Amino acid sequence: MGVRRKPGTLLPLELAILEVALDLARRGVVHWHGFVLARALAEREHSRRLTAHGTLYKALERLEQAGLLASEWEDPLVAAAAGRPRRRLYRITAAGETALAARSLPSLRPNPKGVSP
Amino acid sequence: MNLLPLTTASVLAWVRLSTSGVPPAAREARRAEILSDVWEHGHAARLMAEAPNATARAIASRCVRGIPADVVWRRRIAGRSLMTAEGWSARGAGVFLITIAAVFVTALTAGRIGIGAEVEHFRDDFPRLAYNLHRAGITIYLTALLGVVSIIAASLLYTALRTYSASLATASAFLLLAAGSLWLVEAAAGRALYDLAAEWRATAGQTGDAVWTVARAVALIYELLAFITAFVMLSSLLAFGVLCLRSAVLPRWLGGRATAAGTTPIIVLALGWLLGGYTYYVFLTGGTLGWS
Repeated sequence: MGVRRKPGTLLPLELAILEVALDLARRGVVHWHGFVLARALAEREHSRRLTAHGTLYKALERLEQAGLLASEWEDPLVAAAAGRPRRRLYRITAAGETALAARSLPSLRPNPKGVSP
Repeated sequence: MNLLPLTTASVLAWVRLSTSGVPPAAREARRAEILSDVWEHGHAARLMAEAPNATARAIASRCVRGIPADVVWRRRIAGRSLMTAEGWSARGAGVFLITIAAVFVTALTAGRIGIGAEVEHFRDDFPRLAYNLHRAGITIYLTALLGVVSIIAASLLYTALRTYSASLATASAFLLLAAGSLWLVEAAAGRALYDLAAEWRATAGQTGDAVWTVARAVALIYELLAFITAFVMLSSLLAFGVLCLRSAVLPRWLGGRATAAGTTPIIVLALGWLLGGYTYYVFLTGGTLGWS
């Protein structure tokens, strides 16, 4: 099941998501959706396996709730014009960048066990 | 065979099930997000000219590996909302899926032993069984497994749905329990047949009339059990469908499908029986059609 952690810590997957999000932003990809992230995570790990749906979207939700990521749904007209389902577009927030630098959730105590990749 | 459409449909069905009973905003967001992800995955794979079945495997793997996280997420998000109408719907859907899966697997595997007790069929089928024991062995284990799964499903069904209609839930669960028990007996009969066929084969058919006669008697029991089990199982589905349709808290789509899944084969079986068409019922009873 899930990895247990103390409040205020980031799991390795969450850290990896923030790192990839920051890397994407630096390359000009400010907004990205779940599948793009899954592929970027796999490339980063030199793995052919993409992160599981449940694991990925649970982590994204938690990061958004913590204010480290923000998301918005794509305009339905854009999706319809492209002939595909609507994307949920995420971006890393300033708080996310700060947390990544500190390797922990803001305003909470860091826990080395939770941040070790 | 391209498995991608089936895999995609299965993944989306799982998402639909795992998000049933959670608050609408979270439910719709999760469903839309996975739909988008699966579509993007398939689209990217097409652009890279990846084989559809490789994509199907990758998507299925992502879904299956994420199930523990889905369950944790669901428990956290749904919380007490599992006690709401939608929570009950989810349980009903779960019971239905287990039941329909059991019926489906039975339909796929029942013909494997492929023994007909009538003299002219048995003369051909028994030697064929003796020289295909591995297939019969798999069928026996699957049958026993189905028995256990059905008994578990029956207890889930009763626990989850008795609040809404004690009589229908009891009837449906009882029929499913009976089907499960019959499957276990059927597995035992199949095992006896297996041993007799192995003995006959070991002596190159020189065992004499005794083994042949006993084997035919067991085949008769096996065939009868398979028929009764299928009928009981389908009746259980029918009762479950009626329960769904009559209970405002359960989704009507479930009721319609369960009723259709239970009724259609019963009609086909009955027609086959009435018209004397052996081929109609062997699909569910393990008759000789499985070998033809």
